[in-house]
Amino acid sequence: MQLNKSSWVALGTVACGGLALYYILNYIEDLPFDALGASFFPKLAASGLVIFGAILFVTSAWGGKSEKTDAGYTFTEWMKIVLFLVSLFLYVFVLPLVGFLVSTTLLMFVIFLILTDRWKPFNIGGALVASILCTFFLWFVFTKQFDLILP
Amino acid sequence: MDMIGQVVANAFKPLSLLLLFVGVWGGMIFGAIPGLTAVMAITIALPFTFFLPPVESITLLVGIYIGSISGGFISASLINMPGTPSSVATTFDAYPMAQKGKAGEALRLGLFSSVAGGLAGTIVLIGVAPFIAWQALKLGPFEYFSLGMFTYFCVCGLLGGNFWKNMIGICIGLFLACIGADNITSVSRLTFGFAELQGGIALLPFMIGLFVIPQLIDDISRETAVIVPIEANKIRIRELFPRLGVLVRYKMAYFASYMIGLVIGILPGIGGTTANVISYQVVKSISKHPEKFGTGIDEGIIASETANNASVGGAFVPFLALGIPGDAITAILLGALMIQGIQPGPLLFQNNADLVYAVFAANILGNIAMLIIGIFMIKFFIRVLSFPKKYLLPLITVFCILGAFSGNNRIFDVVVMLLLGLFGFFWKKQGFPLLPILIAYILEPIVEKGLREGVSMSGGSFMPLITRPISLTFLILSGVAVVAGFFLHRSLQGRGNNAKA
Repeated sequence: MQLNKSSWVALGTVACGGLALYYILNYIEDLPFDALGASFFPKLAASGLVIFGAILFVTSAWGGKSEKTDAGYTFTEWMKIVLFLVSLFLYVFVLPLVGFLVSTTLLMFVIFLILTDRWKPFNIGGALVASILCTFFLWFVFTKQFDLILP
Repeated sequence: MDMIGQVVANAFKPLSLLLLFVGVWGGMIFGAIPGLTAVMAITIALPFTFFLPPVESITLLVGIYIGSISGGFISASLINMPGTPSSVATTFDAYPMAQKGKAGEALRLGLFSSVAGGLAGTIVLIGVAPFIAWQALKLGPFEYFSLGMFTYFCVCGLLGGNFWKNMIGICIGLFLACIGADNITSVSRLTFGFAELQGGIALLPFMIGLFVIPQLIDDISRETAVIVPIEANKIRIRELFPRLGVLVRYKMAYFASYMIGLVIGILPGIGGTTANVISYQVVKSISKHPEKFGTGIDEGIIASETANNASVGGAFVPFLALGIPGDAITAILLGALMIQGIQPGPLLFQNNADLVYAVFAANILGNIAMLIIGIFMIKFFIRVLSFPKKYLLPLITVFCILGAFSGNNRIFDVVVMLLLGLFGFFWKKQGFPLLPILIAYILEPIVEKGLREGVSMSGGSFMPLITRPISLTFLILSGVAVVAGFFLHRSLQGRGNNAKA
């Protein structure tokens, strides 16, 4: 037996499927007039996760050759990913507090900085101006033209 | 005649024409830039379609679809990077041809073959889809369930990779689609106490989260500089004018790749990515000069570009006639129509015939628009290739957020989109495909309703699934798809190994 990435994901799938099945059996109510019941398809999906997860675990752990996955990231690339995700989640948190214009300008500016390898004053100034202009353009299009209510 | 009149009337509405051109143009930009995908282009455009009538919406989206599938040949020819997976095989001959100083010829052949494949695919779509839709009116709930199962097994069997991973994807899609109030009894399912989940996961955050955010994360981590060869800037517009003589000269290559693209497009789960590779191999095997493939031969470009564009017309056949998406893009188009309150399928031809004609018209005119835009804006696309992604990605990110937010005006949907994006990134990174999740999610209401209604009508019996001939046929075909997929991918792997050797 040799555990690889797929085996671990398969184990996780079995665990999640099991938890889902427990939740479905205890918390979804089936009404008497419905032949199959509202819980039938969720049960089917959760059982599928357990069964196919178990099969994948067995085939990947004992099947021999490992499957090809995406090429890995370097440390810098991982840092960019983490910063991008953190800025996105912070944005969602900040958006209702400070509104669309300020938070979106900041988000675009931060993403630009994440993507810039060499920070020069000209580039940073240009990015700030571009962020402000793009944000105002999007705000104008979505609120004035499409009547969308933004925070 | 009435149908032709309707097609023409829909096609020449000024707003539709404008949106079609904008869609093809924008789609070609996304198709040409490696890292930006057709799915991304269509998903980003979805929020705009909320504010358009259904006919104009679908016209815009079809334009983007056609443009983005075709735009990939530009980067495939000039920088040896397929802009979309559908143009992988184009790089085999278009790039060597461009390296020999014939970049104009490579682009002309790619453009003309794309248009030829796309137009021919549309003719079959117009001829076949109404007939299938008319037949599909006879389908009952059990048949719809079996058809859904057939689509799921087709996707799992023919998509390639590990079958069990694909099946897990289907189960995840089914599970996510069950969240919210049950459509038949209104019982709460899998809401985990969140009132916001009572309406289920909205389509737009789901699609953006699963398909655009993982791609964005990948693109943000890997900003690469693109160097376009200097010769590309010397291409003259007249070099790109189509020469109809190639149709006669390479008639077998055109016919074979067209048929392959069309059939693969109709089958759920495969799409243009596989079509262009299989077509390349087949045309190579029937060519008089197979040894010249890979050195910059005309037939290599024809095989790939005709097949991937013919598959677009093919993919629309089950989408319009049965409401069954064949790939990620038609699944998103299906979602776009569902958001507008329209359910594709056989009744679409009766209740929303104008929409069907709009799709036909958009397919025809979209290909013509692609030819015009491709010829006269080639210099623009060459510049676009050198445009740094760092200016585009922040804008795309905000579009995604606005897209997720605009459906229900809720921050909660943006959070759901981000969480699904994180999951999609992790899932892709582990080598698990995302397409089965999307297809299962989109089709779940049809499949569940079919089975539950059918079993209720039959007094609790599942037997009609195998006693009704059409239902049984679909179930048998499901098994055939799995077995065929196994042999198809084994054969493709074998050819790949031979090519490497």
